[in-house]
Amino acid sequence: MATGRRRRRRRRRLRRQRRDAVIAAVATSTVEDVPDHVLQVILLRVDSSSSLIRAAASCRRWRRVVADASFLHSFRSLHGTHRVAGRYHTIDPIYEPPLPRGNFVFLPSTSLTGVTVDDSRCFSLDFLPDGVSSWELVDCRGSLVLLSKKSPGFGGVATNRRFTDLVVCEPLTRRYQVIPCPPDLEFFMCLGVFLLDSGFDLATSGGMGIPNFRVISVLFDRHRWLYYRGMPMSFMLSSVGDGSWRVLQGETIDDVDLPEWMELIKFVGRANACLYWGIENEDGATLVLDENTLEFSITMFPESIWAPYNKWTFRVIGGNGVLRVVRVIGNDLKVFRQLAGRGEWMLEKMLRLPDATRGLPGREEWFFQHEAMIVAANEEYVLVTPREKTWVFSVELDTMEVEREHERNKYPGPAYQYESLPWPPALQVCVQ
Amino acid sequence: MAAGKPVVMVTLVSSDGQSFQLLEEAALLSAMVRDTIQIGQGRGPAGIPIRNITGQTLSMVVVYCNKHYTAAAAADGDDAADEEKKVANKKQLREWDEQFINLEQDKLYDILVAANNLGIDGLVDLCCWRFADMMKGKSASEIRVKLGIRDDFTSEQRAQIEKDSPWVWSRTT
Repeated sequence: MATGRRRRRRRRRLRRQRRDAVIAAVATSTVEDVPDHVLQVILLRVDSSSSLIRAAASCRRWRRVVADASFLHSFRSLHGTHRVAGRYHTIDPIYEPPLPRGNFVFLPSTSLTGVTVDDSRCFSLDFLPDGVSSWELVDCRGSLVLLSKKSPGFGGVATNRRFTDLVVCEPLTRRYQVIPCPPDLEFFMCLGVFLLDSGFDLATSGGMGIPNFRVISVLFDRHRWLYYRGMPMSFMLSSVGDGSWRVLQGETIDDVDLPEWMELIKFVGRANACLYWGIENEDGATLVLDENTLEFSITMFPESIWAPYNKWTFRVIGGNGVLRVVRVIGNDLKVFRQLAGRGEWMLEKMLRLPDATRGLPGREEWFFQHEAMIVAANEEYVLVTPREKTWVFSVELDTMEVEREHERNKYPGPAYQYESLPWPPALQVCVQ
Repeated sequence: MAAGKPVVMVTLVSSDGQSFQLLEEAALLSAMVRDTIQIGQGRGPAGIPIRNITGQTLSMVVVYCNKHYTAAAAADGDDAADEEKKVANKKQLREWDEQFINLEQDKLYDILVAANNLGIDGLVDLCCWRFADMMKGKSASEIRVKLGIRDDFTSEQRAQIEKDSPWVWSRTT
């Protein structure tokens, strides 16, 4: 009797268990069951910032998680500088006529799978006022791009020319901020404008505007008290909280003197937070601007490096705190490196250009009668062309390998690395 | 596996009453099992009840634990001598992982939630990697479909996103 009851009870329990099992099997987990901290792990694994922003456009909760300041901070530090979206390659009109749609082309970095042809649309900067072809790309920093208005009289000839309107923009979010040329600076000649690292400060980056930025413009003036000499001036422009900008400080530096002719001064590179200008006929004197202290100074390079100086054959590059000078001397490409601590220089690498380029498609016998020109140089590679004809080839600095058939060689001019993660304000939209 | 060590088995019971027996050391990959055993429970024949996780999901989790336990034990046995073999083993395990997790959203969510509840960090990581991989090169709406996300933006918000970055709706591949 008792056993029969027990059996019945067991049977009932089994039936109940089976029914529960059916319910449990049907109730599967969905995205709603994933807690926020796990969702963050998923989003941290996303390999490109453009994919991240796409994910942030899928629903409100995901957007909130991505827009979180500490999340973006982790994403940046995890992916770091490897998440370079690509480079803006510019075309120096000295070598080739500018393209109809602006003087630059965006080439996505090959290591980045998330960004391809389609993203080029947002990198084309077609949202700029007055059309993209009226601007000239002059610098990139983080997610920002700096452009300067082409001055009509000069046909947009690079570097040495008058100071004009500037625009800072963020391609991925299609935001921009025009900085009209301050009226009292309108007639000054300009040695260059540069974006500086903006202190990443969430508290002051106001809601909808584009991220904080600092722009330094380096101008040129006649020297105050030396005849037939010039001097540099610097103006720091900075964004303020409400999305507008102002002049932070302007300085005239008369303890540094330069040739009276600005044409003798040429920007030769940016390395380890310093900007360098080579000066002709001044025995290796180089104008240096420290980006951190904003102080100008004159540095003398040893004769073995600068002589014979020529603005087409001298470039300064950086990378990992090491200072290097790239030169073409007697059609040898030479890389000098400054030894840590003592300030001495050594010849690190050398390549005989006429021999190294032999056999490349388009190479003519009559090239290299004159000294070749350095078109552009960065930490990774140098672009060189023979003086006789624009025939750009690249030299990989790691391996000194010479390449002609490379996409980047089609654009003779400096290239600017672009990192594509936008700052939080851009994503804040629709989170509240 | 070290000889002479007694073999201790643990039983995990899923929410639908299926039980799975596995080596205690394999089960210890789960922080939740570790905690339960630490307070002196779960060693009995009744096993450890795992709430909210069905047998189907739990069976996959058990497969993962067994594989990773044996791989770790084999690596310990090899000593540090053979560096090359270690790298090869690691690569093999990674390939196994990728094969194992090659699932679609339904099962993947189940496993992710289960791994998170059981506190198996390696498996949580693996699922997250797979989800991130599924988003690669997809447009926002494709991400929604692929990951089963409901679009809950208001029309104004959608218009704002559209204005800011119209390219999120297009794919990259």
